[in-house]
Amino acid sequence: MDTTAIRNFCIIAHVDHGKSTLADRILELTGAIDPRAMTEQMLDRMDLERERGITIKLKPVRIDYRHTDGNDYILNLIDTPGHVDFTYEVSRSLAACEGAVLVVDATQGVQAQTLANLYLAIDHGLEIIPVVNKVDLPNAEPERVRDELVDLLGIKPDEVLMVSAKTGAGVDRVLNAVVNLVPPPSGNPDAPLKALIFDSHFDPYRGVMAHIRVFNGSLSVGDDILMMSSGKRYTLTELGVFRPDMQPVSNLGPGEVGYLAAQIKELADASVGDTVTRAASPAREPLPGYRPARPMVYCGMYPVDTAQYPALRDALDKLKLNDASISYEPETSAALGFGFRCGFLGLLHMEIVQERLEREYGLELITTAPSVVYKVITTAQDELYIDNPANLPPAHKIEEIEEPYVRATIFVPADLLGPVMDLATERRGSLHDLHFATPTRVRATYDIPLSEILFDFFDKLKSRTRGYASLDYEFLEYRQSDLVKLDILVSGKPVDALSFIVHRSFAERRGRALVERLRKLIPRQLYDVPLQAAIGSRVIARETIKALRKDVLAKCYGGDVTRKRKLLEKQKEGKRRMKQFGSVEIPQEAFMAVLAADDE
Amino acid sequence: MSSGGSIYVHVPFCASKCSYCDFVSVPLGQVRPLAASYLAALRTELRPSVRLLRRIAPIRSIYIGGGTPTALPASELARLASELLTAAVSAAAGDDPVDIEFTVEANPATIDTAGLSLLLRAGVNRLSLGVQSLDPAELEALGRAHDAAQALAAIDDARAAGFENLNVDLIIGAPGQTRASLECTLESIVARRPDHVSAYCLQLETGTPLERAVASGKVQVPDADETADLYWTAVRALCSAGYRRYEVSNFALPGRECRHNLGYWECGMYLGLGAAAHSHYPSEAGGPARRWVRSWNTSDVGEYVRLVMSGHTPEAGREELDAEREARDRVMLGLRTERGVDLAEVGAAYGVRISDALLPVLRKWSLKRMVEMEGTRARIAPQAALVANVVLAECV
Repeated sequence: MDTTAIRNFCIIAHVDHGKSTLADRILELTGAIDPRAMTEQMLDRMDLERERGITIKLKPVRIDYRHTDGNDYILNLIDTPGHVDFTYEVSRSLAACEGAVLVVDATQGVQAQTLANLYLAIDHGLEIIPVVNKVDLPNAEPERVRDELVDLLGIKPDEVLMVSAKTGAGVDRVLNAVVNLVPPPSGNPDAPLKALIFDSHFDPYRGVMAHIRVFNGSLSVGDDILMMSSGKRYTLTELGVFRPDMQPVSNLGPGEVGYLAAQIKELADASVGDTVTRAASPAREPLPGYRPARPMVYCGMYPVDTAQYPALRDALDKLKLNDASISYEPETSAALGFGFRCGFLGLLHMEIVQERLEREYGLELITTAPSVVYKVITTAQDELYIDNPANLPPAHKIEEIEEPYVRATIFVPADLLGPVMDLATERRGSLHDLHFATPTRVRATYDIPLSEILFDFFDKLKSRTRGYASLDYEFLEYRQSDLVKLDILVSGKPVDALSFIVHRSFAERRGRALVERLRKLIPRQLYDVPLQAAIGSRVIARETIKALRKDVLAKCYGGDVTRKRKLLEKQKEGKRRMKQFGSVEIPQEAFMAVLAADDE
Repeated sequence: MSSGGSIYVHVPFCASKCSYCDFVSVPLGQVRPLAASYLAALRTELRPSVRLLRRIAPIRSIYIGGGTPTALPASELARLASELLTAAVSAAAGDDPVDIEFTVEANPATIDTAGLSLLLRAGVNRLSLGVQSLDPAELEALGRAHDAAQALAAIDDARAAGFENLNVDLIIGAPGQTRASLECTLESIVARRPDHVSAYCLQLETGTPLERAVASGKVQVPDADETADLYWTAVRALCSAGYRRYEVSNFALPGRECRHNLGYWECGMYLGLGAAAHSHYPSEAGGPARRWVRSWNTSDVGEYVRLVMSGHTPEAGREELDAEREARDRVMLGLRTERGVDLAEVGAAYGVRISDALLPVLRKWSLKRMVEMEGTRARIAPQAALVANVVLAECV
């Protein structure tokens, strides 16, 4: 195939800036989709994505397009996820492209993820096509936002395209720019095969479908292939392209985007970022940038009803088929029984999985507060990675604890910088860089512990800046910290699922706040229940849940037994959703209370 | 499984509405014309119910509650009473008519000796007086239409008229109630030796004036812990005066337990007449297909009259329970009585294996001293009366 007719591009944007709408409009305009079959946000297939207005998975589309110059082109549009949890996935999608349409909302301007994605795209050498979207909105400030882009990219104002993806105005100019400005892929059809896996999904009949971009060489059905990082070998059973439905083809050459199937059983065997080559004559080097999926956030997931344990395992197995980045291992908690320790790319990823388990699989879950992975060097000089605070070795066996730091980019109007700086400092952040993107908008970069970000940082940031600040972060490094494990004792016994690791300077305040919250969350029992927060054997906070004195329905009004029974049934149902710990009933919310704010 | 049935008649009229009440009642002053048609509707509803009465006969208690039955003209109320008694007696020919406990609820502000005599002559043999408190401030906050002196006089009047069986209703946890004020009320009441005392904890029902006043901070009521203290104060005072607590909120001198009240707690059968009245009776089918019905009438007084007088049923809802559910209700209700409930007896009576599920639950609670057990008979332990729901919620 002639690579000069191919354009591989993606659309990058901050959340809600209109990326999916623009993609829909492009599909409509090029006739890639029958408008009658069109649903809003065609590319976001999962219901949850549509509900939350965010894109989680990448879906490529191949579009045949006759340009105004009379020539036919093949446009491969690769959609990218728009959330900080999925930075690595974004980077692999970008690696499959030569150009990126950068969409900025005319009412909001450049935001943290605009920048994060833009820098990623520049790192990958992509041609940037700047677009100001939603110019039709009454509160739009297209000129101001255009100026921001001009400053940011060092370009001329007329290079910025003014668009309304909603009405379709200006979308044709975006297509022009893609054809005229995005360079065609280069690649040698005779060189050893190199194809990048930038996404995958699982098909029950054909196994793993790896979404690939060919760089050098070519692939044909029946070829024997090798996954360069996993070392696994397969015989190709199917090749194809997305239109957007899968359409088989007999071979794929340099510059082309499509999928392959080779009876691959597990997503991990065709992981995102891996390089596909020919088994008989492999490429010498894989494509750069591969990194195994690494969960950043862990939590325990337990069925409310212990009998649902096998169902939870089956559900996780099924989700894992389509999401290699979930990890899970069986775990036992004295408080919660049998469950799983699950790893996620980030908080949103965790919430989405939790919601899907409850919604699609009908499971009732108790989720423990999320934790980062701590690195512990023991006095015996062993290096341990601890993803569950309950497993932290006793203090006297710890030589040193390190915790993951991230570099957080916060974009905020200059007059709201103060509260942002206060918040970042309160959360142990150290300022890395402060940059005025425009005279009124600041980009502050902080090095900050990831655990502090998990601790409702984003909600706080939003509330203190009236929603104007945006946040993006990426893993930086492990740093040594003065951390301690805080145990919560109920009736004198530690509840493993409530333990958490906290910086020593916060221990007292958060311990006190937590036991106070728990006092309100845990229903009164038949006797006094002491609640304590302790570091080792030292109790730092104490509350008492006073004994239940009165819980009875007195009168039987006019013989209304039905009402009485219903009230008791409601009470029974409420109890069923609690976990019995010793003789104390702990409700679901208590296990997430660790995360709530301590300062307001 | 029932030693007899009951009749409950709801009279949804009051001289004035109390601040804590969310039960169905309307101030009589506004609806005097309605009262006459309401009585007519009651009679109309009673007539075809005689068949049902036969199914639950013999009738061992009749209860006219409210509202305030004595808000009706005494002659009208007496006429209703004798009609009810006739229906009850004729439901099971041959039974001794004297053995029917016949209670009428009365407000101290709405009785007089002449009216009481009329009721006695109509066959009413038990009077239940809504005293609630003898503390002037508490009575005021509760919105009661009488004062303490009237309440005490009503007790005396009832005795003088010839009522040998007398109940006094008290409220635990009234606004401003303290241990001292409650003890003071109890002292005066006990001194008059009513046969029976019901002491109900105040429940703030949504939408009542009292609930709104408490929500807005204008009125303070004792919290759950203080109410518990007050309850135990009442228990101590009444028990040391010779009353037995035969159910969570009900106290009686020996042999004066309220048969009608026990009927509810023993899952008895009853026909309810009037707006918002509930009924409980076995369905006609026998054998394993047997069901029990719990049904209730519309709570809208005007609608009740309209439906009944146009030949329709006033029933607003019903549920049918199979033997298992009925047996569980029997246990849930019976556990709170002093007598308790025998699981083996209940199982045999309903033909279900209720013990399999409930015996382990109750044994568990007996280890925690929440339940007392003797063989297969169980009851809520006296000291656990006020937290009975913890156990009962596991029995439904």
